[in-house]
Amino acid sequence: MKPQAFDYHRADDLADACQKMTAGEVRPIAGGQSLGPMLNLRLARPDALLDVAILRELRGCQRITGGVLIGAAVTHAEIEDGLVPDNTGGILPRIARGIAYRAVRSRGTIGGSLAHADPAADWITTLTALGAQVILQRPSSRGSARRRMYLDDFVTGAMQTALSPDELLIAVFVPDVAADSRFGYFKLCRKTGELAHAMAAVFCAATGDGQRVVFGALPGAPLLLAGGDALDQASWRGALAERYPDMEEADITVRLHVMNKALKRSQTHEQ
Amino acid sequence: MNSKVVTINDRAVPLDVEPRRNLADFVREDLLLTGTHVGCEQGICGACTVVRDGRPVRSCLAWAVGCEGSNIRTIEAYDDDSVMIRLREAFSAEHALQCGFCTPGMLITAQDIVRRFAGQTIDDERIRYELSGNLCRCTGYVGIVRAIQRVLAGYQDEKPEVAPLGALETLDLGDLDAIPVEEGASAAGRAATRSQVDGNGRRIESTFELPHPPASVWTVLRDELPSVVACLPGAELTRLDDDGTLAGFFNVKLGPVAARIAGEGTATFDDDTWQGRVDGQGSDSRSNSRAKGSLSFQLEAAGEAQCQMTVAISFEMSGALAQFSRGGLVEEIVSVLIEQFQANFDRHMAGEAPLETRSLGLFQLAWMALRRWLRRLL
Repeated sequence: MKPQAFDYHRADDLADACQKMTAGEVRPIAGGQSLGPMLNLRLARPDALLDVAILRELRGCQRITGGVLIGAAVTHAEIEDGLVPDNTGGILPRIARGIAYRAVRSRGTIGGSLAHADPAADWITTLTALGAQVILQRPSSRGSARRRMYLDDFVTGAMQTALSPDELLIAVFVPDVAADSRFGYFKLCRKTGELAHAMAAVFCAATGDGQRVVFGALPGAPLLLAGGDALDQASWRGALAERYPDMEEADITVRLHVMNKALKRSQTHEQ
Repeated sequence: MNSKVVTINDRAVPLDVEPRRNLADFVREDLLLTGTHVGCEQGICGACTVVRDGRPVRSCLAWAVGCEGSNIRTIEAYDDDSVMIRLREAFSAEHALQCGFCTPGMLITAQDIVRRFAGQTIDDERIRYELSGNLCRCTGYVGIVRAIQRVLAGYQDEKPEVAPLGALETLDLGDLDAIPVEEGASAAGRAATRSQVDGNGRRIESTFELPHPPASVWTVLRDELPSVVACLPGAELTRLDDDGTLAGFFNVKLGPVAARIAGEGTATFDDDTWQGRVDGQGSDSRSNSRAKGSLSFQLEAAGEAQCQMTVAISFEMSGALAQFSRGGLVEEIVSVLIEQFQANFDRHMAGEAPLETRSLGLFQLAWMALRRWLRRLL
């Protein structure tokens, strides 16, 4: 199918982009690898698209104290290819490599994936486990207004985020992963590269705030369990049942299985 | 004079197209470069794969106007490419070209694989992983995998010439610590939600406490229905007659998905049992889908200044969307709706305006299920 007609805008810079977001129903688009199919199916019918993939301000990265800043329009392929400094012991490139297909990774961006907030997307689950933050910007009478949020606060539901309509996700902050940390990730897809039916991430930090496990590809936002009990397998079923009291037994079983796979990978360093 | 230009196969091409024209249609129909094939238009099948600024991309998911300033290469322009020359020979030798529909995309993907893995030995499984975004309906990947292995074997001691991809720039956001960290609203306080299949539809019910005397809550429900309906994000009551017939809209919005269902219905109240119900049905003319549903509520006293309210939403969708229903997601969406209704109703009781909330909707479930449905087709 072909999309319904829309206007297309390019922004000169970030300030211009934020300004253009305030004019009517404008949808920011970066790689368009998730929004594109929705446009083609006419599930999404915005008045206008605002192309932010070309903004130089979103196309960089930087190693800073405590972590790495990744611009929102950095693509999965660029992370896969090591163009972003890896402070995670290989976790970022490995996750990037598992996203969809190479031709999709060429265009799809880390910021677009997080802002789109598809529950089955890889970055949301992974970066929630790693304790990453997003940096948001909106126009303000005083110039620009920025704020930061942890991912588990940012994603509020299926395709729902804390972004306000005139706000852009401009960067992701990924904290350093200490060398002796353990990480495991597993996703269940019907076909290689397809959106996952179930996914799970396990992160045990060598230093800092300990253990975090995340159930992804749920009906809504990722389910994060943190702290001492995070690796208690008995608590997983309870947490799923509490969030989704009517989830079918088979679906719970699949998710526990996927989490156990992720846990095993975290213990054996298997990829 | 149009100043927008894209470079396609080393030729500068003016971009005089409407914004919704995708790159695949642009090269096929406007430039008659028909080697690029259009299959699924979802980014799944890979038949439309072209190279953009050195990397393979889906041309069905690129808007031609968005390619301004880019350098595009289609399957027609590989006569001088040493890797592609070897791939063509290998595809012939290994019978990797069958009906030919997927072949242009397969060759471009294969060229990318060879460029990235030349000099390495990789197993067939890895090649199949790399090919998973290119579907062959002849189911004949054996020859394609062999052809790629054959070309890779020829590059054991030499590397194909590869143009380096651009390094990323330095991102400068100033002092990160100066940007305040905000906490989001916790989902922990969400009211418990139950869901059950009810006939052909689904009924989702939630019970929560309100810090107001039941009699005064009932009066509000009974006499200020338009305001109560407005507490449900996306709902708008445009007409309410004395006999309880009503008309309005339900604006469905979830992420980028939006629809406006126009509907009509009736409202009934039972003053003796503190029960009320609004039934309605409607359709979205743009997606030609129909929905009918009901919102029912019941009050029970819980002390003098408190009451318990049970809200249930039942709905049934028909038309094209009905086959896409997926349980868990609907429950999630409706439970968020009820949660927002609760918060807004609370504010209304306190004499405050409803919060400005983005409405949620049911089209998301259609989208998720549609993807699954497409996957089964492909």
